[in-house]
Amino acid sequence: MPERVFHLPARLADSLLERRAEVLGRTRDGLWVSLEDRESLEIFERDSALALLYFARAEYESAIRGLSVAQIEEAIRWRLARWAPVALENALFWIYRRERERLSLVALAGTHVPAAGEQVLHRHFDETLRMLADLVGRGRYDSLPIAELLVFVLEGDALLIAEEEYLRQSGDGGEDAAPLLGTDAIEARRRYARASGAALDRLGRHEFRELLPYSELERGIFISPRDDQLLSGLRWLHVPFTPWRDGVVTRRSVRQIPELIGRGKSVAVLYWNSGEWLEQLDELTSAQLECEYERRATGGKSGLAQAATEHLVSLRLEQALLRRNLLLSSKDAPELASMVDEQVAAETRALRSTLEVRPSWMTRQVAAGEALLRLAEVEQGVIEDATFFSRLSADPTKVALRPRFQGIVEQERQAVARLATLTGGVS
Amino acid sequence: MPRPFHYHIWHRPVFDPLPAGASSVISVPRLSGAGSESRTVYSLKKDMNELRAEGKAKGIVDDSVIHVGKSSVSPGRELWALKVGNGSAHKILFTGCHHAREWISVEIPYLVAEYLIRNYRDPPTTDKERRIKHLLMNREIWFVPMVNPDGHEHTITMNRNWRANRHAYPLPMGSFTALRLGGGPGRPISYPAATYVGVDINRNYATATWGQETFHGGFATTSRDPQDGGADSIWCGPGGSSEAEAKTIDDLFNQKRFRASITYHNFSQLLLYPDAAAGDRFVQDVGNGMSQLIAESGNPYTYQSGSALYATTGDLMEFSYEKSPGRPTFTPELRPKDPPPVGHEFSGLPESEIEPCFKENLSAALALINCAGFNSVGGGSSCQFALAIPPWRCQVVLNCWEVFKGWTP
Repeated sequence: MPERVFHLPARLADSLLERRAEVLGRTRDGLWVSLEDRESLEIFERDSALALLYFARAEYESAIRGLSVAQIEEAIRWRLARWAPVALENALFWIYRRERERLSLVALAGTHVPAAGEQVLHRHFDETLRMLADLVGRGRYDSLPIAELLVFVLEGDALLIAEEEYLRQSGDGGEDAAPLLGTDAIEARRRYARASGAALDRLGRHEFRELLPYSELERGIFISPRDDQLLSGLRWLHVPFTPWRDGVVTRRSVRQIPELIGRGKSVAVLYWNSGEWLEQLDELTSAQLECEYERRATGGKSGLAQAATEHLVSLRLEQALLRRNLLLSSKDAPELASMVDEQVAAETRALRSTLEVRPSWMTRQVAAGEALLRLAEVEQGVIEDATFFSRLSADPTKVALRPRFQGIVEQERQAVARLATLTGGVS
Repeated sequence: MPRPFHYHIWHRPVFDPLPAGASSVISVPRLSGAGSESRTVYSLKKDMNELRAEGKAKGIVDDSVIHVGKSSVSPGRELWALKVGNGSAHKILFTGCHHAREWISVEIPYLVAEYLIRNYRDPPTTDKERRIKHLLMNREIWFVPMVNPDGHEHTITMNRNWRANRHAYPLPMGSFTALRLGGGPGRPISYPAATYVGVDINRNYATATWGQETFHGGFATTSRDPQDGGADSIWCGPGGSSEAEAKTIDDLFNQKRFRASITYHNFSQLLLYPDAAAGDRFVQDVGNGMSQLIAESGNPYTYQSGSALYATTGDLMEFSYEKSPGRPTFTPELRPKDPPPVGHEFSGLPESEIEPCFKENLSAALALINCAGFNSVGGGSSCQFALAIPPWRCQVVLNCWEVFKGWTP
């Protein structure tokens, strides 16, 4: 039974009596506890003041690592004020992360099963991608004009080309990324881009007929030392930044880094995806951010290379999901659908190969031989999570989210049944 | 029962069958670009249609005005508009969302329009109602809460941090030297052949200084380099008012000759006035007054010139002052403070901030509407204008903004 972390107002403390609950700490007006789903749902059904703070106990442990007691309390109060009111709105992303891990596990398991099982896992891989595409795209792309969505796909391909070329030239991805950076990958993407440009031309968007969209690679970087001119420039540009050590952490494009170095600054990349840093700015306290910066800054070259590779793989996944959504939207445009369908098939094979070589987003490292068992655990976990979210969305302000979670439970059960043929019913 | 505060999106077909005022749950990208999260949102089109109908029934909204133009990318999204009030001699323009990711900047002009329409009573029974009636009988207020619908749509589908519009320019490789505002050596610019997407609409207005680059703290703040387009665009585009969005507002200005205007942005909690208005006693009086009204909320905004934030060219505020010299025009930089205590400032601003942000800006917005009918600083003991309310209620008004002191929604 999964354990999650909640905050209770002090008046509800009695509701914990005779329950399996672990009190993790106390705020001025309440306490935070780890509860199993059965217990938390019983309390929630009587009083909705129970606030979900972390989707899993492990997520909580990771969030407070390296913090003092006072800093932990600050993190809890921040989480309660800022994140807890929209916890269920973030639940799709939680499931997305688990599904992403599942995708890696399916690819990894595929390297360690007999040929007959391989086919089942290939289908499973495809179905997992389909679920991920649905998680990301439903309610987001479904009413967008097809040409606009195709421009997004083209921009995504252009970004990947720029990123892959940068990693090839800079060597920042080290040996970790090297197997993923063959010329064939970039060539394939250039072909996709040319085809998309031609399709856009037919749809009346002639601006993309010949030239690729320009792409800037944005990083979350540490600039030091800081001075008044630097701070003033960032502030007035409305570029977010946080002071750290003798410098600042902020986001700039790779193109702008030489100019900073020319001004006598030292620059270190902490985040390959600057948006990931923005997300953390939104969700973490200053103390948590500093722990995160410290972890990233002390990872050395190998840590940087691993992060670069994971960033590349994540971009490829996002692009594959976007293209699948384009395929869904192009039902009424047979010529375009046929082109996109071909690209989706090739991109799926390429992504599977990538993940076989470089499994990503894993919460626990497993050998190929253990991947099937771990996969079954993750799938069971998704069912439990989505079931829990569905129950929690009984709240009238959240009820619109409920069908989504119920649908996920159903899809995941089908996935488990499909996989049972391989695991002999282990799942 | 008042409905909860959520952000608006331009429109989606999912709203079509829903009742008026209904919200819908959509998925939006995460700030990292990986995965999605759920958001409850309203349709700006639908809500403005509802306000238009309600205002029409009350005789205070011209229902022939649905939008003022379309966005840059064909077929174009409408820039929804409301024309509120019957006093055509004194026209005021409210705009929001020049920068796509500044979601709160849609809400404030929308909510001011909603407030005026919902609180209009005829006959009025309270002083507030009389004041609102006076405004709506003596002013013509144009609301365009989402000037950049393509960019806004991009923030809810692809990139939460997108600022510019979505106009794409295929450009061959090029190089030139860009002029710098105020003279001095120009900046040599060279860029590769590519299709460049995203002009900063608020650098694109055809002001006298359009296209002259500006810098602050070693960084460009207005750029002619198309490489400075994209998500964080400060690219002024290929020509003054080249973008359909800027051209639409430009044309509207030429037609209506607004006597006051306000363009909402975020963040920093500032109230900016045009540099050129620094010595204008009337504009300064109105701006200082608006600043005092905001401060009554307990959450003050700093009142300063636009270039004290940073010098730019081609922005709407400077454009407005060029078109209507001597007339009040302001840019509030809304919540949060600068630097923000924590959190993401643009599309990450929690929806719980919408209501307090509206409340702290309401009286200043009403004061600006009122001040559009004035020509000079008030003071002394005589009435400065003919009140629409009966003469025996005419009172000495010190200036055009002071009557809104202590105003609460």
